[in-house]
Amino acid sequence: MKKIGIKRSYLAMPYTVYLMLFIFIPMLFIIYFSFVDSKGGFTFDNIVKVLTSSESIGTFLLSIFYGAITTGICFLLGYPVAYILSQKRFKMKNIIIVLFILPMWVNFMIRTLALEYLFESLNITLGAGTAMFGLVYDFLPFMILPIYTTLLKIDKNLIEASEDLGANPKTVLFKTILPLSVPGIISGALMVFMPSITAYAITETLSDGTFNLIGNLINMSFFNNKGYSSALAIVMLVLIFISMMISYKFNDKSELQGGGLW
Amino acid sequence: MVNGETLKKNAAVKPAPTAVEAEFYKKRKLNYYFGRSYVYLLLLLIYVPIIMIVIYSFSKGSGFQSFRLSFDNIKELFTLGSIDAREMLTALKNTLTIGVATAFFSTFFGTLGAVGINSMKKKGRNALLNASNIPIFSADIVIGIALMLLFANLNITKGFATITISQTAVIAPYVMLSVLPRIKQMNMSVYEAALDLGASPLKAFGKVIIPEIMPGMLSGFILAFTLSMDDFVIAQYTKNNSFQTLSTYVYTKIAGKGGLSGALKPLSALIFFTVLAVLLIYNFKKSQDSKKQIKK
Repeated sequence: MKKIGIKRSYLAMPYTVYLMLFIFIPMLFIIYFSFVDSKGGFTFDNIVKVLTSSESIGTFLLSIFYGAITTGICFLLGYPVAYILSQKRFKMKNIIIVLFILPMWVNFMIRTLALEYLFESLNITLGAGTAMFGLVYDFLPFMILPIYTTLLKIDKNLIEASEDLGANPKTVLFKTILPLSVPGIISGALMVFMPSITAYAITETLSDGTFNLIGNLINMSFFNNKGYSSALAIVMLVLIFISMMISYKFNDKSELQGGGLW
Repeated sequence: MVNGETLKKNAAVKPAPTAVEAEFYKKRKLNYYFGRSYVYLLLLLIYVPIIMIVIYSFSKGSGFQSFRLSFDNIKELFTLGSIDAREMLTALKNTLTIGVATAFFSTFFGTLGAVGINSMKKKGRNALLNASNIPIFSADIVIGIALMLLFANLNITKGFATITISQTAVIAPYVMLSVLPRIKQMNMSVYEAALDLGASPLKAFGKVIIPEIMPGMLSGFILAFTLSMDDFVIAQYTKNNSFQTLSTYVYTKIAGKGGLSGALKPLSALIFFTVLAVLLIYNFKKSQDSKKQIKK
């Protein structure tokens, strides 16, 4: 029996090796290139530039600010949807969930293009506001789905217990359901925040190039200064690891880590 | 948590529940209808751009400016009457081929990963699960740049293969996470029984585990295909200049202003309705099946 168990865990080898080869090793390349100048010599210039130039610091602060707002809006719009859909009496929930994902099948560049023309026909000037609208529009499903799956998994007895103990519906929502759905909210927030500050095609198209977040900066600088771009990407890597730590902290209690995001 | 007053109120209510309860249910029903209309309204809002795409399929020109009824775009799509339309169709073909290949490889690696992770000891399992979270929580642009640097330094020609490899790296963890819950639910002693009865591990895997986790694999496959179709950043960084997927094609054409084929609109609408029909049928069947199961 034991031998079989060990053997079965070997099945994860191809997956592990694949992630090693095409996620971790490439990331080492980013680190390497951020310490190399255009002639191939060792340099700290790129890192220094990222940490001191007003361009990169400003863009980072702006990204965190707008990313937080985008995530917040997605949460405010998405949580009620997830909550309503998770209720037992909602019969068509499967189809509604599918309808929220379905727009992904119309290529997002085409949807973004349609949005751009929509704003133009409504005489709305393209800028930060329209870009944020596009981000919320595109990433809302990533907020709804994790919260929805978490809500479905909540033990209904806990809700009934709090009702029986005299909590009114509002109290049940804020003191029982909301705290229990925190893992879903966290993974939803992380899945919206990162993409929203790096989806340069959306912000570029919907702001006519006037609203630049960190993704735009990395993209624009990549072709003339790989080192600077890589150094910027390293800061992103740090952000990614912070977000993973956050997700780990909120997830470790439930065995099924991040399971069934979809 | 519970204050005395509400408790008292509740106790007072109990002897004569009907009137208050009726009020409560009425309110709840109202809330429910209010909530439902909110969901529908939000859905409607989300579908505005898509409705626009469908409507403007029947309008002149490639954009969404003033509506002028014409079937030119549709004709262009079906006759491939322009270079732009043919370019677009090539981009679509590339997108679909990459989508199928990525979905296939992601399902392969993701499923094996899930089966393996499930039988790992806690430490290794946590490490691998956390590693799997990196591509999910990561920014595509970081992975895109990283892979571009990798391919460039190994002198690998970028194109179909590099895009598929790269997308698989990002998407396989999603599949793994959609298969994992299925494996957790399944009873591994059936697998071990098969081994005891003389089946080879490979045969037992194919005959016992695979059928059990098929639903997870299937939804993982669909998810992988969807994510691949919607990808832009990774494809943009791991492709060569002459190779286009649908997203990079549209992006390049917008950046270059003009030259965007009008057939793009009816094509998008067509894809959308095809997928809508397939998914509706699939979900309808699934809910029918689960109803049958409940009856049993």
